[in-house]
Amino acid sequence: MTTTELETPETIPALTPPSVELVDRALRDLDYEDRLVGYKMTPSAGNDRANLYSLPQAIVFLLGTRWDSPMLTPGFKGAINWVDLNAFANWLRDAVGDAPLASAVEEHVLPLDSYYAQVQTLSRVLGMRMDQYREVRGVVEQEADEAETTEDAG
Amino acid sequence: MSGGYTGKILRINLTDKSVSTLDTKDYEEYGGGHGMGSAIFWDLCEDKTVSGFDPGNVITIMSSPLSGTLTPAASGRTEVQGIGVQGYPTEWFTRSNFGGRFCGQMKFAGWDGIVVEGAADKPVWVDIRDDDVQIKDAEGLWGLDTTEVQEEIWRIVQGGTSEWRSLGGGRDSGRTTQRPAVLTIGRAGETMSRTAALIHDAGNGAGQGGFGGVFGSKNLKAISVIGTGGVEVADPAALMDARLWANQYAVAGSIADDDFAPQSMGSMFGGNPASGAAGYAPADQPKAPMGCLGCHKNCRARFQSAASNGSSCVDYFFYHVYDQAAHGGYTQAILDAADLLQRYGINSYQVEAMIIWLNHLYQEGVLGKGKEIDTELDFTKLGEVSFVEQLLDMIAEKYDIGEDLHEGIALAAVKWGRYEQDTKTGILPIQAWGYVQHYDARTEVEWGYGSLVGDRDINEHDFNTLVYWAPSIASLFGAQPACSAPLLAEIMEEKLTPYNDPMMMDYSDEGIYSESMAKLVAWHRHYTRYYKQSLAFCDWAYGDFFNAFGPDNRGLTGEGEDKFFNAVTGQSQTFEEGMEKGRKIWNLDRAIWILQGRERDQEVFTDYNYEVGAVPGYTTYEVPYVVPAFENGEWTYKSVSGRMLDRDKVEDWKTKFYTLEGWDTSTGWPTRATLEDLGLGHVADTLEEAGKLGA
Ligand code: SF4
Repeated sequence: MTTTELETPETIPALTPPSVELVDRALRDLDYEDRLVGYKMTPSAGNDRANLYSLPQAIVFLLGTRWDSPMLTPGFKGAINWVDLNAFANWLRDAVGDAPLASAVEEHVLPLDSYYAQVQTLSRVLGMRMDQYREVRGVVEQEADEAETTEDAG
Repeated sequence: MSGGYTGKILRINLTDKSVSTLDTKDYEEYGGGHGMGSAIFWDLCEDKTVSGFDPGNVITIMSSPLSGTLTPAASGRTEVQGIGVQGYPTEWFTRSNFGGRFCGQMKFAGWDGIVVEGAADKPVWVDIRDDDVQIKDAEGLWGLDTTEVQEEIWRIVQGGTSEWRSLGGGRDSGRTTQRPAVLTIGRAGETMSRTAALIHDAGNGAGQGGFGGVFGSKNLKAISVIGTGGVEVADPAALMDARLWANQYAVAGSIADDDFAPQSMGSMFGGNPASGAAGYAPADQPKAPMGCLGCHKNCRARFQSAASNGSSCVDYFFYHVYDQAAHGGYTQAILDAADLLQRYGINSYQVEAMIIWLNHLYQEGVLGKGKEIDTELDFTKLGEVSFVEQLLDMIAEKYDIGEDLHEGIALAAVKWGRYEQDTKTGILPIQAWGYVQHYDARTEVEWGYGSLVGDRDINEHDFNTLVYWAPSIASLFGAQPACSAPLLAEIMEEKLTPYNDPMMMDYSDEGIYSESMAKLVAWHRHYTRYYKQSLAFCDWAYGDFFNAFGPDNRGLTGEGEDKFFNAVTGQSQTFEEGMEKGRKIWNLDRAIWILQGRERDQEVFTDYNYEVGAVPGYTTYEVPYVVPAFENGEWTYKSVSGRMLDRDKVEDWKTKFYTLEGWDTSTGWPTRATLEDLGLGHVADTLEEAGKLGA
């Protein structure tokens, strides 16, 4: 099994742009009941639960594995951050509140054969969505700046 | 006396400040390390039911005949034993172990081990320079962290030079360029925390058991040892040959850069002197490989910043997720957090679990400023080094919630009224005896069972890499592990003497309660007690069963261990004989626990092991757990994530295990026949006197 053999989708269609309300909701901190549980899998130290309380936290965790580290060779001092991606998709829809993103994960990520392949594609899906979030935020911030400037001028 | 031994063990009584010796020959039948430690404890600890903090507790710090020799990954590990203070609800007689070069210096100074009895009336340290042993006032060392105290002792003993020098024994005494090896406690040990560790050099710690707190109770700040002698090896040429022979298991073969299949995973002996520099973050910080005395594998690293040098495993990994969450990646915070842990001298396993559990309680709204468990601990700083510093300081100096955490995670949970409920849900994953789960008893049962019938989290990776990590990580890549399930069963059938039963690898839902699983656990208990903890073969390199580089993919276990032992000692021990010594040591330990009050009914996992399986939603515990199983007449790897244990079946398994060990199935106590067969008739007599001999 090598990286070059991985079957990942060539293109992922753009998602419908999110509303300001969706972005605000999706980026909020979540309550204890709405947390997402991941695991840090560390061959030299064991597995430990990682409670994740926001989408940004989950993204950093999910994409934080150094897959290129020589953790699979003797000495294995690497770590894999693992989240059940079915649970992740449900969490995106029910707790985070981004249904289009949840659907994209279900459609483009979950069908892939391995967790490694899934995470590579997930990284692209999340990257696209975060760009959209940033765009929406940017417009809002720009509008706010403009409003402030107008007020100052007045 | 066989080769490898110095012939004498140093006996220090801190109460009356006397120093004497024991004859190693009297204990040689136990091999070294743990076996000798248990036998010495049996002989010298008059009342084995006392608290670990009682001056009557006897602590042994032992080397092996292989310490200080060229034996790979077996030269630098030191075994520590005595009544620990971490065990809950009983402070069991227990063990811990640390790497580095302490045991080597001990041997070069002419000692096979150190026994510490009594307690000093004020802080002391022990200064050992060859035969010269002095118990000294530690007033100037008390209060220093573990790095500072070592530097101060080096200054005192070395006089600030690393030139060739004698140790003051006259012109013809031996000479050295070395620093003394120092075993010390930090503030947590001084304040007698049950979660305090013993620290040596950089990154070597004996954490589990709370021996740092035991040192504190004895007013013993540090033991320093330096020697100018050597280790007499019976057959140096055979030892050299054995080391060269072992290279074929270590560095042959290669793995293509883009190949993610875990081809060599599980090859425990595999590795090369550079491997320690790989894998550690932050990636952009220059680092060099580092290892224990004489190791071919050098699994640790030395960083440019010097922080966290030598830390590996959980002392390095306990904080990386928070660092990543706070900073978007791994930063210097991982290293600085590890450094603080070492300096305070606190058990990293406890701290890791503590942070997860405390954060859970904080998020749940139970713990925090003005909450039910009121604390100033600032969770907004989680991920920053300041959070770790605040928490460790609270523990070491006993204030805020640290006053309770100082007593260890189990007793803190009891005090806060959380123990029952949090071990029932598993948010406090104490598996047994107050020790937090390291691997899951529900899935990787040999780990859980071994801990349950013993005294602590076993922390022995012999099967863990092959039955869990290799297939589980392979599954994440959609690949097959290099060692197929049928091959694994075949290799284990060959290697696991004297049972030689392939079904020992059956981790299916039925297999985990079988007699074969009882054999696997028994084999593991006997092998580790002798080869790993008495002869000090490192857990990170042995047992080597499957080896991607070895002939026919066979590892060196079963052949290599005795090749080295025989070359050093001049004996002709077989693997079967070694395993039998392990069984003897295991039964001796069992007898000590029985005198401390062990009964069959106590050997029960905490509730979550029986009651929590896969939870629907986002909080499932289903971390990938792929293990070997024999189903429908075939060997395969199978996911057992989400499995729960069945209480009745665990009880049936215990009966099978006790029967196999020759123990009374209603009490779990060894019988006279079992003990006498092992040459432990005197132990049977003591148990009989105490009314605790198995029927
Ligand atoms: S494998 Fe690592 S821990 Fe074991 S002896 Fe070698 S350097 Fe030390």
